[in-house]
Amino acid sequence: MFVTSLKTGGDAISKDPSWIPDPLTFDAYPWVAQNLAGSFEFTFVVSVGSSFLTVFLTIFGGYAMARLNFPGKKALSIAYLAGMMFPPILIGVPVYVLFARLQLIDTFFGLILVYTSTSIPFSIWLLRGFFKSIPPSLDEAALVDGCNRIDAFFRVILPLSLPGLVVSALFSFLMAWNDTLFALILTNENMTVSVKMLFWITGWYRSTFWPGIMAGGFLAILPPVVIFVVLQRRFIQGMTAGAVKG
Amino acid sequence: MSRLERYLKLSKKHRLALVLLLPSLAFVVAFTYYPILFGMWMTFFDFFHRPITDPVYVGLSNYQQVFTDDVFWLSLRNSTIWVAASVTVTFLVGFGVALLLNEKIGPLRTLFRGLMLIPWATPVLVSGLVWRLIYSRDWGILNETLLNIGAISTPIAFLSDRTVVWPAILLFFVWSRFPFVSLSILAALQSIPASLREAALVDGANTFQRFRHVIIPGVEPTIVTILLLTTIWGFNDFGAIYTMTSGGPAHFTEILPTLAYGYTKGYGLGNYGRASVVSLVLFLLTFSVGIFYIKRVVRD
Repeated sequence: MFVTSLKTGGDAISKDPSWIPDPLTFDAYPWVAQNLAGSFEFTFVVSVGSSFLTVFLTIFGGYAMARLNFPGKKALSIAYLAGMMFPPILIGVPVYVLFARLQLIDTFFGLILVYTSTSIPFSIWLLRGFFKSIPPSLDEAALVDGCNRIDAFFRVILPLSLPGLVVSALFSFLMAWNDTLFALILTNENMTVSVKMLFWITGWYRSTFWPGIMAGGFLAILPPVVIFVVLQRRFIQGMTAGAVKG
Repeated sequence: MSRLERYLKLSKKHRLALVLLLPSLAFVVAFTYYPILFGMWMTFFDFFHRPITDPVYVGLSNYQQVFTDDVFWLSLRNSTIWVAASVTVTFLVGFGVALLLNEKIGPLRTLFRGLMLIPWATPVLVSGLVWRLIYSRDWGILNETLLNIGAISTPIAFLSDRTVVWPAILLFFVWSRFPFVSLSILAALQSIPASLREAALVDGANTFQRFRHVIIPGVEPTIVTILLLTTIWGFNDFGAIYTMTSGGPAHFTEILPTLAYGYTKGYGLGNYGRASVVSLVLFLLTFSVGIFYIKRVVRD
């Protein structure tokens, strides 16, 4: 059930579904390359862009949340948490209007901004956890050795938290790649991969070249699945740490 | 005192915190909180067939239109029932699978965990499409199989027949979402110290008693968190139903998020005022559940 539908379609197949494709060809792929290349590029740029931006911004925020204590810290945590919980639609409609006025529809930039802001709360929470697991004594040692706090941060803490940064980056990438709502609402011509495929099947750009569609689907799934399988352990840790500890 | 004076009076540490947090916070405020407020403001304006920069103030007219629209009440009803059903089924399936995976099956466990992540990881639009194909009346694998084994005599239009469409969507949704529940519960199960379970066995507890007194307390916090999260996500989930049926046939499977989308880009093209009203209702629903979640997390 899981992946077979995609595999059988990746090759030439007739209307009678069979498990093993009879004429086994890879014709579908060049077709996909032609028609989906633009979408892939777009989706890729947007996902990577928001991923980098998110990590960059949250490094600082996560560190502050992990190490420093200041008035309003609790309120801030709640603010970030609540940020994670708002229905995308609630944000989507106004954002569409705002972006339309700013001419940000259909652009890389617009989607990157939106995806970044939706990944930030989770990323902060994630990085905060990672930073917390680095003993403060290392901070102290660096400070004693003559760094100011900022130096200490860049030379000591950051390299150590690299795995955490990687996880955060990949997770943001994933959120952007898999997104449905914003991709639909905020684009008209430049579409993300998933959106374009939706339209192939349901209407606008109706296509009946099933093998091609399936090949496209397979390629669309590839990045997320690869990322997930490679980072299985870390992801599960990340997903469940919050849940288990309540 | 002026802002600058106040800033300079902050301790060095606090100043650092402020600077560090400002960028990410600014982002969140700009692209989350501000749009929400703007959205609320939008509910009082009419955008229909007007240039987007020039809406007309119409007071409560949007609210009136939405609340007298049958489709809205249908969506609301659908949303609630859908959330209740999907959360329950996903939870039961997830829990069951977690219990199974908790048994001593060695390398199989890693294998299944990996497999399970596939439905969770794939973009909903893509997996939704695959399932649409499976359900297709004319060339869907499901119909083909059922016909071949003689379970039915004519193909069923799973996604347009009102009697089967909701279960069909539910199946897809559960397939797609249960891994999260399973993996979380599995993690919790595995954190129950083995000594506890063994002690219970020694004390002569049977399976049912063991379940009640050892397992349940161990996973209870996780379960509550998961239920809350999946409920919130259930209300907000747009992709699953939209890819399956787009809210059809004739609004039968319309839920609040798809309705709001419809007002924005679908049939009611450009009716942002009404879309905002629907979003607001959705938000209130989500928020009432969300408060419980926040309270729990803040507890530590």
